[in-house]
Amino acid sequence: MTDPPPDPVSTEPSAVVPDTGVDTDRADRRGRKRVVPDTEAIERSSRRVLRVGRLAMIAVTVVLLALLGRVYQLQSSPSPRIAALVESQPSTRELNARRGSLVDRRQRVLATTRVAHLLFIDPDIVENPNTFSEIVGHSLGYDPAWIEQQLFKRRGSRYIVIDKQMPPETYELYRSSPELRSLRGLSSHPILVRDYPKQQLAGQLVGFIGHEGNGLDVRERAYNDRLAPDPGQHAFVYDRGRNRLWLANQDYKLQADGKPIRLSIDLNLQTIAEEELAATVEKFEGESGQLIVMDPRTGEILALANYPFFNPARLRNEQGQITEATKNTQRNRAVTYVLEPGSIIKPLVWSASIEAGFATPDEMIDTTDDGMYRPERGPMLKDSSYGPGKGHGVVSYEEVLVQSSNIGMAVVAARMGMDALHKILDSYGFGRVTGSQLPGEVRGMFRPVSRWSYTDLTRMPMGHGIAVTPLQAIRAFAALANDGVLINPTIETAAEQTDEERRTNITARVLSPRVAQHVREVLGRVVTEGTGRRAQSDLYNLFGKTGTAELPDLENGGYHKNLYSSSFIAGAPIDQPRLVVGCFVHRTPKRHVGGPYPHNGGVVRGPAVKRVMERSLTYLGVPTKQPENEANDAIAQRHP
Amino acid sequence: MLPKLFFTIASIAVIGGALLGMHQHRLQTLHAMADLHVQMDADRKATWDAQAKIAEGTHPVALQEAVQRIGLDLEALPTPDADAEPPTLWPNPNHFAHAPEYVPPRD
Repeated sequence: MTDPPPDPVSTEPSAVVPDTGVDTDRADRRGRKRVVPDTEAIERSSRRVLRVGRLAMIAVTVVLLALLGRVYQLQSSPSPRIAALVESQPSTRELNARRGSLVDRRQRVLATTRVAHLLFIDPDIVENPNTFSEIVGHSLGYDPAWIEQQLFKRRGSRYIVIDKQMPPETYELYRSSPELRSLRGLSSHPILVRDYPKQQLAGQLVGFIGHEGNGLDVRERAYNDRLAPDPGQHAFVYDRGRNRLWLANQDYKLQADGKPIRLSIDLNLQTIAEEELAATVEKFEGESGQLIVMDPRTGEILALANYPFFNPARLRNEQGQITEATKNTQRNRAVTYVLEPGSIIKPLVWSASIEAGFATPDEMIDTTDDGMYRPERGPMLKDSSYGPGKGHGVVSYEEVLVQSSNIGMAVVAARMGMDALHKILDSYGFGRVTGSQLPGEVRGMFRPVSRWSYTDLTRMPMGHGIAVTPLQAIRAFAALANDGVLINPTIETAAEQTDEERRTNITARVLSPRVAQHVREVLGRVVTEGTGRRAQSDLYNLFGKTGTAELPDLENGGYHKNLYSSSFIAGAPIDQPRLVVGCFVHRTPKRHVGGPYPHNGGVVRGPAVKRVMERSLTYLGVPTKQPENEANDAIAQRHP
Repeated sequence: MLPKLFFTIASIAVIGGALLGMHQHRLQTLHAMADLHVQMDADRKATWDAQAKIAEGTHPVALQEAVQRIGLDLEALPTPDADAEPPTLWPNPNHFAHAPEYVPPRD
């Protein structure tokens, strides 16, 4: 730019010819006129373009900056109209979470949550109420007149529920019918419902939940904190046509399902227990009954049946009410009902008296020839068979237990004294809750020794003057099966616990292993030659004890003359017990049904306990005392 | 200069277009995510229903009947904890509940 521009009209060659791309040398040789570009014009043009370009860039920059500013303003402080529009776009909804399931020890579901559908009407947008009710009623099986009545009766309402929980087949009809789906004013939405797929099986153990979704009874209530879900929420952004676009960033909360609870019961064993219990109570015309199967090594309750049964799936009637009958059956009487244990308490006292040195198994005891005995103080005491020549006479202390002699037990109890006897019964946990964590558990009735009379000293060893729950009784008996260690019963499985955790379930040692093993052998004789003969099994060596107690008459005082609670608790196999089964039937009348004393524990409960024991041990794979082929034949004959 | 300007504007346009395309792609991805979110929720609920139906169909009585009808010869299946050691270790003798003065010698 420092050199002057050449003169366009001058013919003189310039000293310096700018390189314009024109071949000036060749032109000169041919004698033609040189062409010199108008560089000034080009420069002017360039400057114009540059100016325009700068202006355009500035304009674009300004526009972009303006757009950026607008975007920032929309993001940070939009106008109220736009803000309202933006806020109305996302729609927040609950993200359903499921209440935890209750499963048995093999993960079979007892209670779970699933989705059902509620059918409702929005009368405000129903186009023709008359045809509407006809279409809905006839297509889905509802009463058209009732629907029409609701439409007119609740005019102005925008939400009339037709069915709180559509049956699956009705919902399938609704879902698959384009006519119904496009019918204005009719709609459905999903709801979560608690389902009890096993119906009445272990109904009293499962419990039920209320309308709010909280557990109201038994496991559903006890484990409510762990079972309860934590629902989440999410918000979707919609366009003007209400089409879903995407998830909004705000208001998102991830849902958390409730944790499943693994119970200790086994549904197969529970089925066996319920079948046998129902058959027994009905056969002997009892009013109610319980049957408990426990693993004595861990305290796990493998089955707990209560008759009459309770079905949580049929909790409410058509009006949504819980009936009185249902309220009565829902109670878990294994822990809320007490009974005088009767003779099933004898092996506990017997073994403790041996342990403490108050008697020896071979010691001879005079139980009188007529079965009647008058202690130093208190009323006459009788054995189950009494009269001239009907007593057991002088028998060994071991035979006292085999024949279930009240007199023999009273004689040794008199040696022990009240304090020692009270301490023994107290050590088995009577008068205290068992720690099973079953709701509503009662402590039973076990008076302090200061309130005992001498009569109590001779009556307690035969199970009178004390009231225990069926679970307390079987827990105490399980200590005999567990080599003398008393364990808290539990309804939650110990399968996932460590050895240390399982050991913390031990309450105390009540017997030495030697004495516990010996009492099992004596109780084995009770089954083979004593009062529990009807429980004798060809498959397993059982040990057990019968119990029969008169029912106290709460209205007139004293005892009912013709009503009994009969019980039988047994364990098997004798050498290494795997199961303890206790069966209790209440209010059995003294009638002649298939035997001379149908109210007796051995008669009423013995066969049921034997069948439960055989079926359960076979199911658990415990080897029988016979070769396998013979055992299978025996099972097939007994349970065709 | 003009080609440079055109190049610059074209570049800006391309970059802008690419950004817009990416933005649109992001929105479509968000939309697909939302659809998947809804589908996942529906699938969860379908799983719940299926579990409930399976639980209804596997009632022990129904299974027992089916096994007998088919004539299957089933063997017992012990649980893994069946052979576990029972927690019957000899506790401290002071735990001997009712007669500590008569604690027998350990077997």
